[in-house]
Amino acid sequence: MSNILEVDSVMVQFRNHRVLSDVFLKCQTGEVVGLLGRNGSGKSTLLKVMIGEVSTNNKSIRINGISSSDYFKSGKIRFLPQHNFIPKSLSVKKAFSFFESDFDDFTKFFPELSHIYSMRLVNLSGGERRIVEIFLILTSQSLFCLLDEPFSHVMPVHIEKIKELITHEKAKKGIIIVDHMYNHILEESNRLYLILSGKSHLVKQKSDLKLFGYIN
Amino acid sequence: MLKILKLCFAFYRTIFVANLAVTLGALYLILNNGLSIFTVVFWFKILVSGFTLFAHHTYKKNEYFFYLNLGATKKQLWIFSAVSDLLVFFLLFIVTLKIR
Repeated sequence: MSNILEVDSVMVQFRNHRVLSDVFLKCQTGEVVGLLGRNGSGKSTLLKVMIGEVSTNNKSIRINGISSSDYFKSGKIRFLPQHNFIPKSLSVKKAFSFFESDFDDFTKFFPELSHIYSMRLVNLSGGERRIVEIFLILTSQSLFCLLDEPFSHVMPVHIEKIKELITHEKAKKGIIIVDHMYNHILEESNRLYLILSGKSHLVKQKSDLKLFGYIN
Repeated sequence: MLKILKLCFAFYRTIFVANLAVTLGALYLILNNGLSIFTVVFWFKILVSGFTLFAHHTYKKNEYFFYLNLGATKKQLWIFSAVSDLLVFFLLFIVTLKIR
């Protein structure tokens, strides 16, 4: 079944600074939607509004036309935050068990990490932890995944594997990616938005990014 | 529901050592000074446990996304931790009374 996630009417203000004022975003099953923007433009804030971690009275989050603020709580939306989020004290095995994810599937994408199963996350490198986290979020049972900077802290070979994983998983869900590595985003995304001055702008081609002053 | 309980338990484990240290300290004071200081020690324990949760929320706020992604709410995590912590405190308090 194809699902459609739509976000609009989002208004976020921190003290006197309006971060987001006019955002529209749409993502459906089978799509990767890229979200670009300068530092502090409100990309991560927008994702946190979508999961209810940043509260605002002005927002409309709809899946298949039905508005709700509980999509994250009910597991329809999963969120990969910008920094490592799985408690370090947990073992990889336990983390996979909590997410009901299969480690054999993981090793199909990352065979070089097959030895980490019985290790605790504290003993993994930052990049390895990130890969585990990205895999668990992407392969979890959800309708949409919001990924905040999935390509940061990951080496180029693994970025390619993550892109393969995204392509594999997008058949089952919609994926929204925020990252500054715009070349990867351009390559992966079916639709691209740029947040500028609190508003979302649809980017149709790379030259639009120049026009908006995001790249030179 | 079982999954939420497991998540709450996993969360409590991350603050268990700090809270147990405070509990043992509090019970040591009772052991040495008698039951007359119980009320003061009890509220001190509550205050420090609250501070532990606050510190965890401040310095490990990213870890909350693990529990939230899996369906547990912050309120569930905090309530489970507070209740478990009190249970441990009173269990060890009874043991302390037996020792005295």
